[in-house]
Amino acid sequence: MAQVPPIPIGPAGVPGAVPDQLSVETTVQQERDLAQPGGAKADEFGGAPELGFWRLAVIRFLHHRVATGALIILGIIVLSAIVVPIITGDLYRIQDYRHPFKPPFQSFQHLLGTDDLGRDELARLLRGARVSIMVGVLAVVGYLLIGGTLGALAGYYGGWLDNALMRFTDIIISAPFLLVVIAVTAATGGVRLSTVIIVIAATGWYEIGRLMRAQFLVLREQEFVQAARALGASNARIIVRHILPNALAPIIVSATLGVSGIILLEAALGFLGYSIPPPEPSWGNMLQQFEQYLLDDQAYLVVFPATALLITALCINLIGDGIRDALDPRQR
Amino acid sequence: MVAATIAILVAACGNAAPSSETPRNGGTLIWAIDSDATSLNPFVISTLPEFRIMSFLLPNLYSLDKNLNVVPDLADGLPSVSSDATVWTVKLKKNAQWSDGTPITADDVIATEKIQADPTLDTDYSYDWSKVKTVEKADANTVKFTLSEPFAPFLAVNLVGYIAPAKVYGNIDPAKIRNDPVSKNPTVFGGPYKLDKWIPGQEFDFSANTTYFNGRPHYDKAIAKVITNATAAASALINNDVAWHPSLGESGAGGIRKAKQSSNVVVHTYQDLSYIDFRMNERKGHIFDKLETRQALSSVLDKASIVQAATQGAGAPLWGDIVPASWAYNPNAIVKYPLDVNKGKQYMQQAGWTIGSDGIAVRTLADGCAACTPVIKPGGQQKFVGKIRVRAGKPDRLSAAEIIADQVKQIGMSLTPDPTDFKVFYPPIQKGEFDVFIAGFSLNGDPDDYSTASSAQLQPEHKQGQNWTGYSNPALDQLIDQERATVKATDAETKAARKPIFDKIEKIISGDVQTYMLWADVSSMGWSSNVGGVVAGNGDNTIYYDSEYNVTARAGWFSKSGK
Repeated sequence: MAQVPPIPIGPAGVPGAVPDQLSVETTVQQERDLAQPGGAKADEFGGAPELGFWRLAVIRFLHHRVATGALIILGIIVLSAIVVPIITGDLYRIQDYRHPFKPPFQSFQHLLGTDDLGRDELARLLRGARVSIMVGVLAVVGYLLIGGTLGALAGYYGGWLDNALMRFTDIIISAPFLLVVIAVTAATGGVRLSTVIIVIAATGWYEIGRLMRAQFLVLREQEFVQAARALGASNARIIVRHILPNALAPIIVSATLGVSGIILLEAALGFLGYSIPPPEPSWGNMLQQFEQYLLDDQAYLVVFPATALLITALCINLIGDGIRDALDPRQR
Repeated sequence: MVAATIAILVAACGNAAPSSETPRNGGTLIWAIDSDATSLNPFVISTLPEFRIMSFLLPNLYSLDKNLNVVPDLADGLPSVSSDATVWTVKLKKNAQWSDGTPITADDVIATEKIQADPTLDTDYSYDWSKVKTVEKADANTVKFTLSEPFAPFLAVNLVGYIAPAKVYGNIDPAKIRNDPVSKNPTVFGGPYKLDKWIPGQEFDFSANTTYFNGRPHYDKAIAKVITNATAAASALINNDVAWHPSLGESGAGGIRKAKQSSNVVVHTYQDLSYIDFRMNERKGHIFDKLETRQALSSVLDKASIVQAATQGAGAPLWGDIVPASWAYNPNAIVKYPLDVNKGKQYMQQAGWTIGSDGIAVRTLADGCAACTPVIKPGGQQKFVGKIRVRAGKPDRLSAAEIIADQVKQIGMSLTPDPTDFKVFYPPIQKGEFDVFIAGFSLNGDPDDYSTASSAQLQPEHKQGQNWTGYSNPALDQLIDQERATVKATDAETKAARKPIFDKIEKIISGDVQTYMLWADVSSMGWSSNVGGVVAGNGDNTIYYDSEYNVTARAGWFSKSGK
């Protein structure tokens, strides 16, 4: 963990910190300021620079050298995954199956060599990155939508709703993931990327759900929420405008780490043959198809996707660590 | 008796150099088995590793030699057949006895047949005794099978297999046989070895059955170690930790190459009794319903290159459904379509397909297709779009599917590989709801292809059978019925009479592309060079030291060093 240099901040920069005096004349503007610590004005004690919570978080993150480095590497990977396949087009699927297994680093035409059907390994690797990253990001969006909503409702309303939703969560936690994948694949008549994303999202949201619930349980008892309630704010408004922004920090960290977990999960699914069907490559199905060459001269076909997977997951985890440190109010 | 058997093998082989090593007794044969057994009950076992264990423990009535000829094991000579070809009489060796000292008699053979034929038998392996009317004991060592009609595959299909002790299994209800305690703890053996101990998940310990009727096996002991990863087992073989690796081929081209390079390992590579094919749904209205469409497919695929690329040498290109290892294989009886893309395009036109502006072929279906997805109304347009179903976890088949999908684009066929788990893979095929699937078929010692090609075996139209293609050809049906009914006084005469019929059958199957054959599996096994008595078949090619068929071969192996 890199050392974060101390940055002067005002009391308003701390999430959840609330001025002690609340008058009935509190305006809507003030209410908003209370709800969004990041949007607070310069404090009346003077002197400290005007830095919001999120800006501060960004500064702290950028001071985290390892996380910043990881972000740059991930940025390069994501960018090349987006841009290079557009330039190379169908290269990833062009076969030369009579002349397969061109070794890597021998020619510029096939920098990372070719696979068993003579397809360019680099083009496939980058095309596969798209699949892996897309599954990771979309499934996490699913986590946030399902887990976020259910967790917020359970935490805010409590009572029977909380009980019902938490028991439902218990069921989801105990669902055997692989069996669900097999069953859904059977029911929908084949493997599709959308199925993979939906199943991962539908079975993996519980962590974010529980985290969200815990946040809401704490925050709903805070004075600023009571104040908003006293001012006549509706439940929906309190949830969305007052509690949610304050609950976000741990959720963002969890979601970031979730992306790398899902990328690895997709690879595992691909390895078992339950991810995107060929000729579309994913790192998982590349690993599966070439596992048999592990002890052979063609081991590079396993080494490249495995390394790509490792680097990406590592980068995302380091970024997650960086975000956690940046958002943690106790780390000053 | 061992000497006699080896003499037969050498005579059949012809060109094998006589071994300078003299068999000696002693030592322990340690070998790798690729999975644990779930049962050691001969009626319940269904996996290859289980059959491999069983080949140490129980005798066969008849077995297949390394050249796939039926040879007697427990039987004394080949069976005699009545002049109307319906009564088969089998004599048993008089000296044969179980490990408890009691003789192996006609009662054991009859009891084994009764259990296998019992419709309530709880087993995953299928036995078909439907052609047998009665089984009688003529005397203590003679069994008489009376069939409802002449049936040529009877010898290689029904009479090749285990004989189990009647006193152990005869009194168990076949419906409950799976969970009977004996399934986990067999006590009476008739094969070359006896089972001393089964440590689940780890190993099987055997000791020599000194009263084995073909002569005491040379090794004193044998140990089968469970090594589930074929590559790890290959390393164990190279490091001399195991002396036999029956599934060396599973470790891939790299594993085989490493084993071959090792000076203390002997590798035999042989064409197996199984094949992989590209099986199309040929029912009316489906994309491959016309002969010309299938001829077009055959004309744009360079089979030899596809098989080489997909299997890395572990497959032999195949055109008909009789594998080169079989006695009925005749390379001259097969129709081969040479690589000719223009010819392929012509075939497509003849079949009524025209290539659209998007490069995908299209046709008008006058009668429509209700069974197709999507459903096509009468007079509607059909695009040549389909899925190639492949089992997940079979990289060679998936590679073949990918190459084929890429190549057939030239003639407007849009096929997408669709790998799925076996549980998902199989049901739509049974229902006839598929375009194409790539699958493997294991064969027995008889080349009869009734179950995959006869229209009496159409699935799902009939309740049983493996003719999932929907292919139906009265001329072919008649030839298949004819070859099955051709039984002569001796096995050699029967083969000679059936072979020309098989030639005609292969001509139709390959000419009509009833199924687009891909390759016959080429398997590899490795032995430590310390193991003597391992004999390869014709041209070091045909060797079938596998499953239940080589009980005698196990007994013939010996340790050159005596350890």
